[in-house]
Amino acid sequence: MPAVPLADAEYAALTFAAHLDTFWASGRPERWGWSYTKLDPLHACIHAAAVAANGSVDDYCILLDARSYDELPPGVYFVSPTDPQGPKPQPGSRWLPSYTNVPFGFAIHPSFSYPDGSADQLVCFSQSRDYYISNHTPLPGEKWQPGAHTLAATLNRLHEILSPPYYLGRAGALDS
Amino acid sequence: MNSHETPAEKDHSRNIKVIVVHEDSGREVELQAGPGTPVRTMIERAYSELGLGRNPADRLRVESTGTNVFEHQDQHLGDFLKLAGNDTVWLLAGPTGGA
Repeated sequence: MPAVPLADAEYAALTFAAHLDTFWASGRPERWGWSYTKLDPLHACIHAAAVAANGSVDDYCILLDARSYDELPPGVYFVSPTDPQGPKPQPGSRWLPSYTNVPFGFAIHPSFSYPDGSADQLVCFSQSRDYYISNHTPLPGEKWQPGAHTLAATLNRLHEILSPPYYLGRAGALDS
Repeated sequence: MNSHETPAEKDHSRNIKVIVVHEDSGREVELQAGPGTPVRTMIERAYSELGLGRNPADRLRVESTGTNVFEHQDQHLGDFLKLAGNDTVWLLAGPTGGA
């Protein structure tokens, strides 16, 4: 995992918990069939239901890493539900989604070479922390603004990708 | 309702409630207006109540259909809702970069 800028841990944990609670209190994620599990004060696993145009539903586990929150967005990783903090899914894994024609800048790189020399998954969009530590430069208006953006932005974008007409199905059948 | 109003007039005076969800912050605003209100006015009110300036790369879409609300800003609200499946939840999202 690449080195990340760390926020004050107590502040990050409190803000992360408050924003998760607020977002879930809106009722929207529950209507999507989403839930979450706190792994520790700075990490949560989002249990996300993805819906394809044919109505089929797939489950994903999205790890949120709040160690930089909310000076930066949460780190975002698609992970195995049986080992969310273990090795990241490889290309062709059933735990990675496939998508098309997303209406904003977005990509999932199963293994990305970070500037610090490490390699890790990169879910690349400007509401994801690792976008900012991977030599990407946001255009005006795209940059994360603490206070104006919350993890609602992150999860709403992910929900859009995991919905028709963008979500196509699992990236493959591999279980790792 | 005025007892002299016709059913059509009654329908015309009916207030419609539109919920605009600001996806970037999770905040929601509720707007009420008659069916003859221009969609443009609804958009302006949403930005005003959310305290936001409009970015040309913003997206505003109907939740259930994905219909681009900005493309219909010259229509009346009632006509637009008929076109957009009568869904009164609109999603506002700011620009997102990445690849």
